Amino acid sequence: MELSIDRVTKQYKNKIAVDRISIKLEEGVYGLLGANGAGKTTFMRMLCGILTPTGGEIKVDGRNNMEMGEEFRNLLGYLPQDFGYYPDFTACEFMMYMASLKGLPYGKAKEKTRQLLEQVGLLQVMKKRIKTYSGGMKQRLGIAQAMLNDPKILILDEPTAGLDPKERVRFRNLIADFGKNKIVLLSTHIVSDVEAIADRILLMKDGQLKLTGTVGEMEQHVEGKVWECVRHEKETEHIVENFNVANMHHNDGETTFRIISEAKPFENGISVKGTLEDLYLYYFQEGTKC
Amino acid sequence: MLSLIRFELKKIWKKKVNRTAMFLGLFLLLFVNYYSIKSEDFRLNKEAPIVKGLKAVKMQAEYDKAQTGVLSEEYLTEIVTDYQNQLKKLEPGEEGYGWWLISPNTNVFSIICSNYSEWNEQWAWEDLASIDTTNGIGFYERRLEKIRNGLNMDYSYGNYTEKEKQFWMEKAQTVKTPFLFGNTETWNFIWNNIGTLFYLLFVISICIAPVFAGEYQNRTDALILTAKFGKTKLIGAKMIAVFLFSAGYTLLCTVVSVGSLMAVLGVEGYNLPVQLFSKNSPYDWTVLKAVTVHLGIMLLMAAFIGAFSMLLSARSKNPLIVLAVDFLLLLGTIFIPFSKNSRLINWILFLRPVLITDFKEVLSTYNSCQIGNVVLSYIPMFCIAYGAATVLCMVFTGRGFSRHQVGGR
Repeated sequence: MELSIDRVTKQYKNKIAVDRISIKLEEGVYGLLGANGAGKTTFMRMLCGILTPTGGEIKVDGRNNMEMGEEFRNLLGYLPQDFGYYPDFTACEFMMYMASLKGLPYGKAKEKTRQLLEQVGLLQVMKKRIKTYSGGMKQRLGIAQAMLNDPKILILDEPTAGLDPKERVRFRNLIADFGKNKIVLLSTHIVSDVEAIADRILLMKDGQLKLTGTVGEMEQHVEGKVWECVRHEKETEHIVENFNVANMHHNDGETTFRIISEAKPFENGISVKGTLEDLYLYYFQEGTKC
Repeated sequence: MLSLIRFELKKIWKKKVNRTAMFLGLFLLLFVNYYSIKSEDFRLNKEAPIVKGLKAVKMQAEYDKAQTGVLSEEYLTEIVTDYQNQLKKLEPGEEGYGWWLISPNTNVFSIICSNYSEWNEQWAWEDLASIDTTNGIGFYERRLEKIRNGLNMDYSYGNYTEKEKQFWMEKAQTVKTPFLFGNTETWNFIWNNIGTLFYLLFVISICIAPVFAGEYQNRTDALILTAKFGKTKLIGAKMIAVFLFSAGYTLLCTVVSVGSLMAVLGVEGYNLPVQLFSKNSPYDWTVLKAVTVHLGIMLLMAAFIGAFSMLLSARSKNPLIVLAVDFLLLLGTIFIPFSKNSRLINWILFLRPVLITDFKEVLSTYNSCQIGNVVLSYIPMFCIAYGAATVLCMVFTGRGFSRHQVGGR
């Protein structure tokens, strides 16, 4: 299956939220990385057909997604950012409702609900009202509902936002489990989430796709631009203000800085291997190159 | 589809505020029944003590029951003559001037008063003294004369066409005379209190307001609109659920309201002519038929307010806006005065929902309009208008939701 995005644009009066994005997605996990306001959510809503693009087209195996209607939505699993739920429903009722909406027959819906709730660790609490759930439990319920129709295209918008590290790891593993033989597009601004599970990274800024590639390929973009320098602690304020600092570590009156810079920032700077996080900072630090 | 309808009904039922509104609505109906009975009083004659509440209702019912029979010209002439003779013996200004001459036969005297007063005029009891009884009071002749006079009057906003006059006179002449009289108490209460169902349209409005707007507000729209049937069957399921809820709740309220009155007062009187209740009515209906038609119209109104609330709900993102607009439509329009110059404007104003609450008045109102050679009276016009509005609301609701843009500005 191929999801083809051709010059997709969304413009609100004089603001362009998504600017002529073109890309072809095949089976695999894609990490859509971008800062808040980069246009990730708008882009994903257009992919799901709940926001009409002002330009461009989205096709599944050559067919326009809007024209496909129910057929397209049958291929789709979507977990929106900060998704809404019915607080007075139990997890079981919510899943059965979503299964009805997705056209699953009653017997299959019941079986799939049980199986998915077990997979996301909510089977024991499936008779409890959703309003009693923690943020992590709600997110797990969210991914479970997205998987009900065994979708071929799975779109997850900031699925790990607001989760504690343990929940985030658990959630990443779930996505890796569910993502087999599917097109999975996962948006986040948390680099480590996509670093761990994405086959390819899509870097989005100001509504445009700036870079795409595997983690290794992306890291090459910052090769020779990441430096480690040891400086006196007194210089900290000056360095933080004037350089793109990825990390710093204080020790015995001295500070080790990890600086992202085109040129060597200090004489004693040592070039080190760049990571995806460095690339992210390289692209999203205010006032730096893009 | 069935499971989707079931879930939509469940969503309505699961909201605490909806359940509270529904129970309060039912309580209101029972309270109105209780209070209306409690407010009744009965006095057999000047010397007898005043009896109040349920006892008074039952005594009046017993009295009326004892009078069961046709209201013949002879009988009506006799009671009017008797009243006039007794009135002559009284000094004007005497305490309670003449009221006790009427009591407890007030129901019959009230029909007579209404028959002899001029169009749009109300009579006091003592006005009965002006009726000429020399050659009988000509009650049924006078009834048709009064209607004819009303139709031939000059109105500043426009007069009846010849076709309309013919339509109403023919209708009025079909009413069987002499009228059958009997115990009117149960059906009087039932019919009066059924009007309260109108105020329960607000309960429907409260429960329906979040059907679509709640999805936007709770941010569940993104989830459901990306599901296979989110833009197709779900809309139909929501509409069916809304109509089932609106009709179901209205019927439940009817059963509670009518059932509680029947349980206390019995069912007697259902076959009495509507003219005993709606005095100048040109309809040859029994009170049972009139109440059934009224209930049918209330069901239509419930369907309309359900559809209208759904439309607002699909178009607005806030259930409170839905409630505010419904409130304005249902009650705010009361304050718009009738036109003195335009019959068309008055026609539109006659379609205000609140006017259907007093169905006794509706059945005494000679509102009609002529379209080509066809004369449409008020009730069919009301039903056509609200039926069409309901269908239109459904069409635009479907469009509104399926085209909804999640996060669109």
